[in-house]
Amino acid sequence: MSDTAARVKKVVAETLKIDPSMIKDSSRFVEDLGAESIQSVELVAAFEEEFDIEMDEQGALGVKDVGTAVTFIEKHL
Amino acid sequence: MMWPCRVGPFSVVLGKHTRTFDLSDFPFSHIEAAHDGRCMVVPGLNLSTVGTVRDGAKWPTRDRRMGKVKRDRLSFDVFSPMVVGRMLNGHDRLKELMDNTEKSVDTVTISGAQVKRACCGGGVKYYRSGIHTYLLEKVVARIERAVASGGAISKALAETPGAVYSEKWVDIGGQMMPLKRLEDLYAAVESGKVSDVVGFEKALDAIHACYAEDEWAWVRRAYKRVFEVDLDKVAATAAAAIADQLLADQSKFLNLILIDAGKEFDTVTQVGFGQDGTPEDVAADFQAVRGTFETNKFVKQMKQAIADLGSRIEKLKQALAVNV
Repeated sequence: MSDTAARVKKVVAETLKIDPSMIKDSSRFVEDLGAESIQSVELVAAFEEEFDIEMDEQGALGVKDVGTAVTFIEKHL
Repeated sequence: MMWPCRVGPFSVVLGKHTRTFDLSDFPFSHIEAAHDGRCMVVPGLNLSTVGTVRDGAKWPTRDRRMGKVKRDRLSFDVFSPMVVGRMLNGHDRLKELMDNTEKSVDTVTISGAQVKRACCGGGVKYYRSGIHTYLLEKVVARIERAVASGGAISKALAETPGAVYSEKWVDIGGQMMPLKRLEDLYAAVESGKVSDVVGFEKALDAIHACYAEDEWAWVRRAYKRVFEVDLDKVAATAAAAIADQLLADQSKFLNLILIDAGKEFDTVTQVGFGQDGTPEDVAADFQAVRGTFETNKFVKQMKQAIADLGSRIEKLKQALAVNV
């Protein structure tokens, strides 16, 4: 697992308050991990904090699963 | 909520709040009571939601007063100097919190409510987007009118004589006005210049009639503060750049609303449809009742609005190029 992927999963686990072992690359934030609408916004904010980046909100809110989030964030690094 | 809680315009409040807070500088927020009694706020979250857009569109149509004399001089604008002024305050307060709080801090307190530190950045972005869109739209609309009538841009962007400026605007029973207008009305009543109800109504009518001019006086100063550009010195080339910026900011804003609209078609919202069937049955049932994202009336309207904005800005830029 890449460093980015590990950090993404750590942020997801902390923000959604779930066991990190539940989080797979294919996990969808809403359907599989139970993220609510507000938590989607919190996730974007938490990713920005963790990686010290400013993400394009339009693109970020369109990201649906963990693997795509890793790819999306790596583009901003 | 308990008195004296204060909530910013267009906010959503959920749960039973047992602590007092003042979130008047944070319009469009999501305010929720946590299980431990804390008030959790996500500033600006509702700024780019379908609900806010729909509300803004339906309020004017719900005004069915038939009388010739309307004693409530209601402003139906979602964005006004009062609301955007508070967004400016909220933006600055959130930015200050972001800049002065350690990253290790999970939540910070704003006037009695809690906000996740990371969400302060989100609030700053939401408010910045809304503020920019409002100010740029007002400026571009004036430039368009000047170009269409063959008038000078400098004249269109100048302050209207007689306009009153106050940094702070107030909402008096639905009527928006600069604070100074209200203070002048107080003074007129105290001095006896306004001495009866008829005179008072006339004074309110006169204030209402000045709304556009007063709003423009406010926009000019806010524009200078936000963009550090003096509108008295805007030439045709700069006007084209302003139009481009409106196109970029407003398109982004409208696309965020489209993303929010898409949530109404997520699979998680399809609960209760085709429950005894296959996933295909669920999708078919949902589609039969709610339709699809592509065919949804609101989605089509938003997509059309984005397309119209592009055409509008292109037309303006061509007209500006002719005038240079």
